Amino acid sequence: MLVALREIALRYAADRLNNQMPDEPDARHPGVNWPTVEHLLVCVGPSPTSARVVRTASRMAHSLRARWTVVHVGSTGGAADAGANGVSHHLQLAESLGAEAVVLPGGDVALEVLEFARSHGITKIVIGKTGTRRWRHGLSRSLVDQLIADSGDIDVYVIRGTEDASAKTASIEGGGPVRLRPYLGAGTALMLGTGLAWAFDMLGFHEAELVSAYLLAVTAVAVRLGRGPAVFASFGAVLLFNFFFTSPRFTFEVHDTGYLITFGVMLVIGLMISTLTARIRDHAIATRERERRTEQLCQLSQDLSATTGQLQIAHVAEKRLSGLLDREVSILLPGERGPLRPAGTSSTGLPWNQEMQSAAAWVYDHGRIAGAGTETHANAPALCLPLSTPEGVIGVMAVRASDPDLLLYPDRRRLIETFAAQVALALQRNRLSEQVHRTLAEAENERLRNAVLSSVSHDFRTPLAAISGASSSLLDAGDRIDPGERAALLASIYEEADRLARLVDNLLHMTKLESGQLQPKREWNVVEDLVGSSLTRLGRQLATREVTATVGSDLPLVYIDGVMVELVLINLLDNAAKYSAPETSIEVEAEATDGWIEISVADRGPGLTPEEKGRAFEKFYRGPVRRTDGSRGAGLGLPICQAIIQLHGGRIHVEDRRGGGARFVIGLAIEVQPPPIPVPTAETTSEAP
Amino acid sequence: MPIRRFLRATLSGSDYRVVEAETAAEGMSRATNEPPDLMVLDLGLPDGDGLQVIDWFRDWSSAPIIVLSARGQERDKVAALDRGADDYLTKPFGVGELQARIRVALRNRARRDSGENEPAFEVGDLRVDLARRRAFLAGVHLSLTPLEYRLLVTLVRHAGKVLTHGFILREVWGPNHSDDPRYVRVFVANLRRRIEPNPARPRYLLTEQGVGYRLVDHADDAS
Repeated sequence: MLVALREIALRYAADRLNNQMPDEPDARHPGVNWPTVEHLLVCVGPSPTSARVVRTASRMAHSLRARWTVVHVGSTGGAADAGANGVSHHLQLAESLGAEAVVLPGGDVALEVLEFARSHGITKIVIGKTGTRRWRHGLSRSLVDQLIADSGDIDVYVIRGTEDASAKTASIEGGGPVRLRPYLGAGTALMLGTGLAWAFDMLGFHEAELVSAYLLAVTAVAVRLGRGPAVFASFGAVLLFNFFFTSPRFTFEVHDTGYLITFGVMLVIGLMISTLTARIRDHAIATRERERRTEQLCQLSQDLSATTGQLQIAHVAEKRLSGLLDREVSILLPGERGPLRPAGTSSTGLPWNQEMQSAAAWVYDHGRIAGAGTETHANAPALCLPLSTPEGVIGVMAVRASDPDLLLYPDRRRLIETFAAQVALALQRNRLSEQVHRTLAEAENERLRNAVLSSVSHDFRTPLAAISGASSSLLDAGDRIDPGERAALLASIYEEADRLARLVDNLLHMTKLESGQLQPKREWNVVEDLVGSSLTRLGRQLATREVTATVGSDLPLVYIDGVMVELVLINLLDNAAKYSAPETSIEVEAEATDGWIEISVADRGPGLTPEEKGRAFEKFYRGPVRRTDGSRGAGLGLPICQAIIQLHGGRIHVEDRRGGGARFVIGLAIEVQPPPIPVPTAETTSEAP
Repeated sequence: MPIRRFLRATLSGSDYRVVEAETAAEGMSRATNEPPDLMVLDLGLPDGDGLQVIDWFRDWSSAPIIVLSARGQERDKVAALDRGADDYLTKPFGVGELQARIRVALRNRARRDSGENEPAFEVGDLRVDLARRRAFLAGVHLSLTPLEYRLLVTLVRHAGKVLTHGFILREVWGPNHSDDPRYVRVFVANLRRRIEPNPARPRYLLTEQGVGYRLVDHADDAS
């Protein structure tokens, strides 16, 4: 008990100390950390022993309550890396046991590991024991030896393995079937080197220069073709040098034993060049890869930020990511309270089967990665990642996993996770901006609703009051009212009722138009017919007015909803009649101009002020009272006209008329005309055939 | 209910005998007991579709039917006309309008019952001599194509009544011809240019937008 308490107290003190330690290494002791909390670094490779190492390290970390990181030095998941599967298993295992997994670019394993350890405040390194490949010892120290020798103040724990279980240097091209082409390239380089050396020899250069020609070839091979061919070239160079330039020439025999030293030095330099250059090359490749990914991320985020709309974002993400990852990617989003569904418009080729659905649903519910290559829903054809936002999981990204383990290779997986985060971010941004829009729209609706309410209540009450007043006085005192007065009362009832009916009509129209219930039923119409029928409908109102209708002959047919456009003309004519003096005339004109048919209604009223012109088509906008009969409209006629014309893809505007007055012009697009109707040409008298 | 009240008031005042019914069922039973000379039918009935009443009535009676319907229901109007209704009125409507329609319907009915067409039709300056197959405007002979003349005659035979596009197509072009209303629109426009002084402000051949065409019958027809 006391021991336990002491332990806790000490750990607490250590924690505090650790927090107070500066993050930068001590200036007096560069490269030296002052760690006070344990942090384990575990090196793993493809061998099965690594699993044992990982488990042991996990136990150690647990008992030390230490953070632990698992590192693999080598290529980052190239398809040819035969060891990648084993490595990724080990890394996965470690992650599942609570470790952080890191993959470092290839090169000098010991150096990479120690560098990483120093920069991350590692206190202990755990590594599997190097096996029995004694031949390597002849050339270089084993990894364990190197680590122990260079670890300085970091403890190194060696776990016994059954065979070579150390993190092994894996070159980019390492493993897999040997590719022949680089070795042919190396051969060619050696031939060129030999040619150069030959030339040097002709010029009477010393043997050292000849050797340098070969080393040049080896370097070139190392830079261009990688380590394997370079090693091959190193040996080849020695042999060729021996064959061509040491006496006796054109044999592999050596008489002067001094040459053996030359060969030895030449080989060592060649091998060193190979290794060093290959490492630089690996680093360059890794850097290029990183750059490429950064650029990809950059591009993705640019594309996504330029896109709005949930489905469009999903579509762009799918397209981009499928390209970047070179495999099918599908974004799954929940429908309206419905289950997850593929959201993109492109068919990505990912099957949406039972396994897929349950894996996606699980990921959506749990917010954790699952699907192919993981332990959860491993039979799904794709790896599913949650699209997480601060407000929870909003969708799932599925990545086809034809080679599942490759996807789970930490580097690649982190990249995919970053992509997922980007997509989630874009979706979240879109969601928020939609929310803002909705809120604004609601506020606007609210404002409009209030306008409607105040306008409608006033517009309804006035005629209703007139009707009930007039009718009640007729009921009460019908006999005592003189006939002229009675007729006036009855007339006002009739007129007010008529006004109410029109108001209701307008409101209904506006509502239906706005809610999209009213869809134009388009047919081919004759313009003359439209003008004629609207004038006929307004017969009574226009009976006393002078109206001239001029419709150009041979106008093309218009593809419109006749009832709707007639309503527009009726509204415009009605306005013209109401806002101009009875003795003035109204002109209706229709003509074809440049792809449009323009129908205009012009009056000789007072016209519109600039402000009125700007707001004439606004709902419930009413200018100063200027109707000739003193009444006011409801401010719906012109908005209805505009809505109808817009539904037809047409245009409407008001302009001043020369000589005074207003001129409303509607434009209807001239569509591609239907085939002409066969007209019997025989121009006979009215004798029927 | 208020509509029936004012219909009863005005129609009784014009010496028609009015039988009222509130529902389709009641209307059918009353019409069976006292077969009417003309039916005014509201399409929006509480217990059923007014169109069914038309079907039922047309099975045994040729008495005119005038349909009442709301604005914006052009499709219903066309359906009613195509099933045998003679005319329609859009609510709200004036009494004068209704009475004019009733007069036209009864007159057409009487003309049809008499079995013979009048030899000539005249409205305003337009005169169609059916016997001699000639049309005149203000006494001037109009030269019409055979199709235009057939169209004019169809309109004359049903003067005062709205003819739907479908009806005109069947009557003029024959039952198996195109069902493209464009034919009717274009030929009506052509005919109008012959018989109307200003085709953009027609006096005789009127368009009922979304429904069809009506040839004005006599000067008393409200329009």
